[in-house]
Amino acid sequence: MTDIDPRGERAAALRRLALVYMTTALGLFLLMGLLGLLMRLDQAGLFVLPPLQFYQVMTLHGGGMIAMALLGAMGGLANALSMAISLSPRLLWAAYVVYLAGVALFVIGTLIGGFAAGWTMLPPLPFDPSHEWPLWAAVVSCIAYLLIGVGFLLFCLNVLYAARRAFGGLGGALGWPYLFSAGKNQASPPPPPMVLAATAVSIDGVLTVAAGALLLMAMLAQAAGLVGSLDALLAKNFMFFFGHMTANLTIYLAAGLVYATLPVYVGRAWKASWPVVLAFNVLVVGVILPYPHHLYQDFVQPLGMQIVGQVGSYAAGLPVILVTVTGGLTLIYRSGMRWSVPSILIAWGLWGWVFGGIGALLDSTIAVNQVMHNTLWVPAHFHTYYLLGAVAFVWAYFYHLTGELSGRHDRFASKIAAWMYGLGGLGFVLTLFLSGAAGVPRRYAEHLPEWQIFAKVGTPFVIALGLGIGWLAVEMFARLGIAWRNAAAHSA
Amino acid sequence: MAKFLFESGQGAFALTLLFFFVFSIAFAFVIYWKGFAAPKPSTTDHPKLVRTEAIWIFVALTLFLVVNMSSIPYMPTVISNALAANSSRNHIQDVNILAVSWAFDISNRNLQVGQPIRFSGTSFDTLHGFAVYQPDGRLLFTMMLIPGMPRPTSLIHVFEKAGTYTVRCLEYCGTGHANMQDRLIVVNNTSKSSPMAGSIEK
Ligand code: HEM
Ligand SMILES: [Cu+2]
Repeated sequence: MTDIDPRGERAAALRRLALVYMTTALGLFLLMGLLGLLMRLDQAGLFVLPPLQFYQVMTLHGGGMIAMALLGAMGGLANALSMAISLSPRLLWAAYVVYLAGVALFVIGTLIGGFAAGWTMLPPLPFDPSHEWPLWAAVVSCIAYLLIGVGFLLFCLNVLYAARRAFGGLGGALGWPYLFSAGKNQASPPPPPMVLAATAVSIDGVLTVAAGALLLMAMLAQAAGLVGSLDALLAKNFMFFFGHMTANLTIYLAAGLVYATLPVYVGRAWKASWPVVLAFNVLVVGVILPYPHHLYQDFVQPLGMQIVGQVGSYAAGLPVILVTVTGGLTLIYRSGMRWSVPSILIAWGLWGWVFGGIGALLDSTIAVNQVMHNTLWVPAHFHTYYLLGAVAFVWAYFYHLTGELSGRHDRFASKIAAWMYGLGGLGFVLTLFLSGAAGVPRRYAEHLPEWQIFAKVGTPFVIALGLGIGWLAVEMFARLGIAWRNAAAHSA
Repeated sequence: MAKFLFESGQGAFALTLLFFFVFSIAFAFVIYWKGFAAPKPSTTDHPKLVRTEAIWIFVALTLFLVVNMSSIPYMPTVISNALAANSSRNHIQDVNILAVSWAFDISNRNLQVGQPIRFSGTSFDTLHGFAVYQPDGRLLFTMMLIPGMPRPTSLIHVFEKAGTYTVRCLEYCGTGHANMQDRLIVVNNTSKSSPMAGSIEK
């Protein structure tokens, strides 16, 4: 652990890197959020987009948001981890360039090329000649995903390499000596929780990118006429393995930021207890299991897969949510926590993560899924644990970091803005949940008049959320100059 | 009760809120009264709270497992298999569906209450969905249609109420997706009349 020195050049470089990753993420969020507002206005019947444009916007919004959330979480964690393991700034800059090239290509594919197959790009739709977009737009979009995947892969490999070095092997980084001695092995205390989170995510991240790359290459090969059409069911399995996992892993990565930030505001250390170590170890295997829940209504899948999906959905995420949220709450309990933007956002995030999680669990119950599959319930639950979960954690960390580095603190108005973000987000996702409960389909460019009420009620909440994050963004961007300069000198 | 919870979106929403309500109260209590409001860090022993933590995790896990297990009899495939086993004597009516962007070809749109019907569907081009909505607008069931499969997706369903059921595509299939719909007319069982194939066109 010789090169772990918060005053060192490496740590300084990682602070700057984190600022760039998270600034990019926030910028993307604001743009993609505007597209989200546009879609909700369309669904309210207030602003009519022609279907092709709606679906271009939907595809870009979906892919862009997932990419930005992952980028923000990676950036934040790259810095937070620097007190425990030593990542390579050079490699992570390379990852950034590749990743951003991917995002840029995706914008070109969707906005200029008109690619509109949805962020999940399920074959055979992307290359179906009967659709409005040209072949090149689909090809560019597939390459975009490949590049984003490679960027993520570089991050994962870097984490795994550094964690192995710091903890004498991956088992060490996952706290095995501590885990298997039932927490009694005092000689080997477990690694900090964020190392557990980053290691678990990175192991599965490598698998995810591998599966995704295989599918994307096969799709490209099909586009080039090298192979016949892909088996649609197999492709759907691969795509959801890739898509579901990437989305899921983002959340657990962002959870690492909670472990890094909350202790500062409650004035207590957050050590990994035995259940925490266990939960992240369960996650490594568990996160692979739930993806078949995207295929519950494909009755051509064997029943066994469905049951694995249902049980897996409950088994995978639940332990981590429970240990993080209850751990967070016990940490906060009677701590005299500082009432500030990061702690408000983290409180919203812990709360929303559970809300979204429960929504997800119910939907992953096959009997319920029968009446929920591909209704707005699905966007409802994932918007909840993104907006009011993972993404809130990223903004909390970003606000915290820019605050520390610039020495500027939040004002009363900042706290109001943080509350608006939470309340606006809550109102927005509630209207999505209610639409889903009423059976309103997702991905409908036009909503029946009787469905429009949900989007109409939701719109002011979206605007409140936008004003809240807009205010915080202005504050954070204004701090960047000083933060950037101090990042080099600051001793964290 | 269980039927309401597992067979309607409102039921799931109620269940979500139920779970969430308990959690939210505990959450608000910790955050507001004990988190921010405490003037000074207390001396409460942190390790003591670990027991509370363990209990809470155990309770939550058990609750969710109960929901999980009790839902199994309501799984569409399980219901279908049971119907198939029981209906060997009174025959199951077959309705075949072919989805093409952006319309359905349904072999029979006039159906009867109480009659087990096996819906079997495939897709001609891309992924499509076949979702049946009740006359009151709520979703009744969904299945996914996949092109190029050796066998169709199928499900056996018994309608309980007469009325006009809307069929919608629930798997994104391109720009016409939101307009891809059809109808099923379900009438009360009067006589053993022969079904007239595809007599009602949209
Ligand atoms: C800023 C507030 C946001 C608004 C107003 C918004 C709005 C929307 C709307 C209206 C849809 C289309 C729903 C449908 O009919 O299927 C949608 C889809 C989606 N959103 Fe958001 N969203 C927001 C934030 C986010 C965030 C933070 C993420 C993830 C990090 C996200 C990820 C997605 C994804 C993955 C889809 C699905 C796209 C697809 O179906 O291909 N959104 N959003
Ligand atoms: Cu469709």
